[in-house]
Amino acid sequence: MAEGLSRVSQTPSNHEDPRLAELLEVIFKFAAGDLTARGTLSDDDSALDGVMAGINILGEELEAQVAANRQAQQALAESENQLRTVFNAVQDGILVADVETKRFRMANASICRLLGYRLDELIDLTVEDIHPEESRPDVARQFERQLKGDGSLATLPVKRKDGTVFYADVNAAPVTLGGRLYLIGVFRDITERKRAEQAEELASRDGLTALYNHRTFHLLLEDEIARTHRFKHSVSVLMLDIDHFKRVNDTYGHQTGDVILKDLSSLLMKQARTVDRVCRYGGEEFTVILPETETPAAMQIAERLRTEVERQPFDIGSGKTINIAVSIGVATYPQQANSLEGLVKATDIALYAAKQGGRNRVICYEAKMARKDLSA
Amino acid sequence: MANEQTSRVAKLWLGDDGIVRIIHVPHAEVTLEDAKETMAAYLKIYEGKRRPLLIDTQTLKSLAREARHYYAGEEAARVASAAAIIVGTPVSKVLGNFYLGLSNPQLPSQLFSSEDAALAWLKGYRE
Repeated sequence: MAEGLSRVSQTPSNHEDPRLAELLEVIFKFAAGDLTARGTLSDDDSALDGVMAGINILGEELEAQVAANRQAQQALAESENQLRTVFNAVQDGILVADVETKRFRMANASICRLLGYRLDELIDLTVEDIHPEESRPDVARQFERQLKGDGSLATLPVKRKDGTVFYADVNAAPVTLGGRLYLIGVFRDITERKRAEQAEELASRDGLTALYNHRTFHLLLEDEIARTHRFKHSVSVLMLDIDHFKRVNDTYGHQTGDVILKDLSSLLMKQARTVDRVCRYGGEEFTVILPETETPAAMQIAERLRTEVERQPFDIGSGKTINIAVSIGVATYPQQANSLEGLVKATDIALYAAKQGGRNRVICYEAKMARKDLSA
Repeated sequence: MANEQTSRVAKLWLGDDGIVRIIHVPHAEVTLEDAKETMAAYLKIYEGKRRPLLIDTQTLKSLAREARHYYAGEEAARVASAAAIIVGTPVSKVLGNFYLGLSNPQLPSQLFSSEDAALAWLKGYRE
């Protein structure tokens, strides 16, 4: 076909009017992609000149249109390239999943690095493929939740190509692209943060009982006292000491003593309310922070604990059990102390009074105890 | 005369009726440069008022794309109120129709084959 046209265009002598041949030549050049071709106009203003003028204008417009399209395509390609560069330069991993099929549609370089997949491998996978099997129900729930666009963060385990798992904060939002609904997920590897949190958690705990340690007790109590100022309520503290613990250690050995400490910790944790904070203060001494608790309620809780400990037989191995008892001192801020140190001291004084009073009892701090303490 | 100007491709004058006539020279091939020169000539006679234009294109041989877009643009609409374009020859009819159809002139524009009809229409655009 093109050959035929070319032959005709090269033989203007076939036509009676050479101007008509020129007109055809221009049209053939357009057809061949040469939009710069133009015909010449005579000065006699004939109908053929009109046709030639029209063809020339169409050529001009077509040429301009093609140039504009090419420019727009270049601009689009450049813009896409810039967006892709930004997309890939983002440190967080980005995955775009088709909501219907759960299959990935786009992925940036960071997520490929994080997961250990090549882009073409990742595009073949679904959302489920990058999470450990046991977490898939949770992943599905988070997917649905984030699809509603609530903007909240989910911390999820993510599985690499080599099967290893890391934790990531995932922030996702729904978006419609080309009429299809997608979920864009931004993944931030929180391995380091998790490690730091775990280290912080370890540092805040007592090694034997896993209760909060002495240092953390002070930090927690500091926070709680600050809260009492803001919300105008009280905080009470219990200080417990195992009665005659030295005798337990001397009789059954330190290992048994440790078992008792651990079991007592479990018992205290079980008996404490969700808001209470149970701590190992040191040796055989424990503290319990009771937020938003006035003295009468604190006394009730302390008495319940004392009774439970007294009632509970402690298993020390070889089928043997022993019973222990605790003395408990109680004090409340701000009624009985006006500082953290004052509150701890008041609790300690009350505990001392309980010990002095015969042990296995609960004593609430009173101002006269402090005077006695001072005089002593 | 102060109310008469010429450019390379046209002669322009302001009539007593407040209408500016633009008559092209025979076989005029108007480039963007020519269009700008003609506009500059118009600005010398329009006395700061947006004038209706009677443009005779019957002797026009070609009008470059850039020139068409220039005439159709903002600048002409700012200094003139309307354009009545006289066509007659096949070439002028083609140029005129493409001008109206493809260039989307901002100035109210219409093609006429008679000067009387064009003048009657322009009278509605005297400011």
